[in-house]
Amino acid sequence: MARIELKNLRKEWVGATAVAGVDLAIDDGAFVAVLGPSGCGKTSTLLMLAGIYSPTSGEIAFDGARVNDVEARDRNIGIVFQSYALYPNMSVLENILFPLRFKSVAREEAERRAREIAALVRIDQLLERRPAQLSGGQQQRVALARALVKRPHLLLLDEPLSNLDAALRLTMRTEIRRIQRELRVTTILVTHDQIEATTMADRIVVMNAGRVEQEGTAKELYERPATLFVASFVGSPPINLFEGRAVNGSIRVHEATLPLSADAQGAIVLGIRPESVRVTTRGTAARVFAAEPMGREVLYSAESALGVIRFLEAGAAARHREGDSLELAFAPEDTLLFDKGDGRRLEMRLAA
Amino acid sequence: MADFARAQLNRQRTNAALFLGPAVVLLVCFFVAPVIVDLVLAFTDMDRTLAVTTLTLDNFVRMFTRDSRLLASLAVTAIFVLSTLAAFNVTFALLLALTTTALPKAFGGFFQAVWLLPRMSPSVVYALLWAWVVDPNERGLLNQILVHVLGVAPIDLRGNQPLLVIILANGFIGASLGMIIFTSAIRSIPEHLFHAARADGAGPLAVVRHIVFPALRWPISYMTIHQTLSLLVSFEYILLITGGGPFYDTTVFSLYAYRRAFENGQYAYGAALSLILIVIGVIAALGMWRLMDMRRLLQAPRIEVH
Amino acid sequence: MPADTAGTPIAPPLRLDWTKLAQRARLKRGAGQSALLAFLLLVSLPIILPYFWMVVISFTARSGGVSTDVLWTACAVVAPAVLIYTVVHIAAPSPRLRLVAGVVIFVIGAALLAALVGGQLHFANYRFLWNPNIVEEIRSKATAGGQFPSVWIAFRNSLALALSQTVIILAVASLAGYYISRFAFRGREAFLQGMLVLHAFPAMTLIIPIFLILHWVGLLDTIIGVMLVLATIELPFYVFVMKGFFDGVPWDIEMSAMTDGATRRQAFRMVVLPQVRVGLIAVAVFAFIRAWEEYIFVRTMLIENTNWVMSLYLFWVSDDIMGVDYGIVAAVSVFYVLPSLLLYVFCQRYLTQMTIGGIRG
Repeated sequence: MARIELKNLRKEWVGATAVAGVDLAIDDGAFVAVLGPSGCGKTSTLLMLAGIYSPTSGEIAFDGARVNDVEARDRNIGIVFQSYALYPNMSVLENILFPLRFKSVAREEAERRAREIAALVRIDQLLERRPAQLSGGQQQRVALARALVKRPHLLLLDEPLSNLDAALRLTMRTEIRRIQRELRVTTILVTHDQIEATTMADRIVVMNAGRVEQEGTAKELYERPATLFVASFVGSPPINLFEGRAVNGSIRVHEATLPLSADAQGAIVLGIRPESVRVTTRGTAARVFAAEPMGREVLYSAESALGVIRFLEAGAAARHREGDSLELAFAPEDTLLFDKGDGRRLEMRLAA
Repeated sequence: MADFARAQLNRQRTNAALFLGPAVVLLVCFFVAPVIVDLVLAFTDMDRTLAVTTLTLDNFVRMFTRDSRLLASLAVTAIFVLSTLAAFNVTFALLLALTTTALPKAFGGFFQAVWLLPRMSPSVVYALLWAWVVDPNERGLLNQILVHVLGVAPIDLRGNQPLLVIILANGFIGASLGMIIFTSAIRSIPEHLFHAARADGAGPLAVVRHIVFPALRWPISYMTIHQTLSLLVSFEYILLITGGGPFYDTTVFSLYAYRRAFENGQYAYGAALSLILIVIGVIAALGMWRLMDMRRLLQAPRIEVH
Repeated sequence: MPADTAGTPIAPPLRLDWTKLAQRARLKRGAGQSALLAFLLLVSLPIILPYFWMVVISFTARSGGVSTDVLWTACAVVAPAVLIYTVVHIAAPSPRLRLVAGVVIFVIGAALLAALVGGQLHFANYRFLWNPNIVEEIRSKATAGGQFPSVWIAFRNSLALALSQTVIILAVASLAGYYISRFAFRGREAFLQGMLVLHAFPAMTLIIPIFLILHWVGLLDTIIGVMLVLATIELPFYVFVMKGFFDGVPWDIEMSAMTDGATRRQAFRMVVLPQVRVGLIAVAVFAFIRAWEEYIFVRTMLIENTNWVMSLYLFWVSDDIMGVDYGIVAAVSVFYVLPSLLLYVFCQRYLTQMTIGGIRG
């Protein structure tokens, strides 16, 4: 299929709304990540796409045709569940063969395709084992093979890496991206981990509380977040946020007053990313109260006139200690301003 | 030091007596003792007078050579147990479990509640309802439907097909129990397996075959064994609905022993007949014990301190 | 490589007819669900109708006869209402809409029923609740074996039997279950195995020797005797259930109670027991219901008609006036079933908590 569209998609359960109106368009061959915290509705959206949940209202269209009522088995999709959902009483080979049973493929041809896919995801040595005898990474790859063997038009991945340890996660990230590039199958990945989203997908959709907050590339989300939520969710370590009040051309934050690039009134939140903050000789006075070595860099927390500022310094060892006084500076063009009421980003920055 | 150890030992003993004692006493008096009593009784000649005069093998001789009613009763038992088990306790129960779980929760729940009624009603009430249903005159519910809705003549199910009636009556009870067990087994299948199967292209029948049945293998075996035993020894509904009659036409083996003892006063003979059932019961109980997951139930306790 | 040539996607450029698939799916689902419903409705009629009938008769039968018009009228109202709601439920996707529709249909149905049938409802059949001489009045003679007592005597006896049996089971099973759960005593395994065998063993086979044992200890024909027997028969199961609940209580709170100065028995009473409250309630409800409904043991052990319980009362009433007065028999049945029903509804959620090995006996 060429294009997938979600139009005002809603999913309501008794007493809770999981998806509150989602609009999305995905092109053929794209790799899209749906990113958001747990409970934001991303898995429900995925399952509605798969045909396992039926939408309360709204439309799902493949190629312009409404497919809300089309059964999951007819949608030609492959899905990898967070728990892998391997059939416990079947061997790995039988698990992979399972979808082909319903496509009237001859047994020999089916086995050939199954082994081909197994080789692609590198589990061809494990075909006789039962799921219970496999490790998490191996199970995941079996699930992937099972999803791909039927040559689906759409591949759906629900938090595929969350059950894996760090090293395996890295390997599988590359693997999945490689496979997706090779097979050019439209892929939608659901995750709460922004690293997964930014490293694997071409485009990212950020969801929160059943709605789409923003859609774009990783760079767009990072540099021009549309809302406060996106700014605080994307970017690690999280952005420094300072609540303040804007009066005309300046904003008063905690004990400091800073000039704005345009006039504004009302409650405003100032955002400065830790990586934009530098230690200088002349800037805002700050006193360090915590230092966390994070391997490649050190994350400091310091008290200042603005409030608590977190900033980074490269190097494995901490150069400042608790109680040290420093001067911190940040480029005004790196700052972000948000309306506190609705979380929208305002098109202005701090003045130079 | 020795005093402390002795005091501790005493405390252990009183604890054991206090906590386990009541259970042990009750079980010995009313569970273990009856088995022994029955064993002995089978070899006596106790009758209506409730007095024992001699020890004799006569009961067993009679059982194996002179009792034609017993043979008839065995036939009835065989038909009853096999039919009820095959048709209702297992097959129909499976069907109920599968169909009620395939429907949306509200409907499935309603039918499950309906099928709980037989089991949770007092036996007297349930039997009474069956008596009404098969009442041979025009007021019987079945006959009402036959006459008023289908325009057919009324039938006497209780008189002409009493075996069918007790099979149906006990069958509904068995189906009720089976439905509960199978439904809970189906519910415990992780939902994502169903999702995966549907996404993989499986239709409803394929889902049942590949996902549901493998999970039901153990409950089905358990139900079969457990219900066979239960049907062999229970006669409450039969007693209430047909009384074992007309005459002895629906008297299964267990009911036969009961009637001989309490209707005819032949307590020793009844005990002898019951002994057969007791032996079967013991063998079956030991067999089921082997089948169940012993390790989990005998899990070692947390503490060794007394 | 699955790709045909380098870079070509593996999925063939298939143009599926989505609209047709959607249509087919809708039809299949509608047909499937309707077929299932029809099937279930048909096979459930033998249960639904008799119970419904029993309730209706108890409120409408006059002078012993059964007027079936009421039954059929009621069916004529209830059946379409249920069917209409079924259609609505399948068609409407939103849960709120279903609820509203359900309430509306229920109200209309109830109003119709009240209008059509209401006039025929009466409580005369329930007069056994205040008039103990119903049987004598109908038959104009005393029944064989003695007069009928007031239903409240039977009720009181049943209540006493069920309550005391429940108390015994709760006490004995909790004590034993706790001990087995906590202590590694010599013979623990043998004890558990014995319990398991006893639980699987059919106690009904022992009814004859139990009768004799009760006779020999002089407890035949007493409520106490029956109570002890009933408690014992169910004991193995309940010991396992309570053991399961105690296993779920972490032992460190007992240990901390004991280091705080409590003896083991005090720790059990003050700290552990409250934790298994849920288990105790579940066991109590089930044990009560079972004793309330017991027939065969009471019939066998209570031989003279001096001790009445509800099951016996209903049995003899129906035996006596069954062919003559359906209404009263129905009313007594409803009265007898009601407590069980209410308790069952109340403890539905506890049903799932009582399992050994995932299978409830």
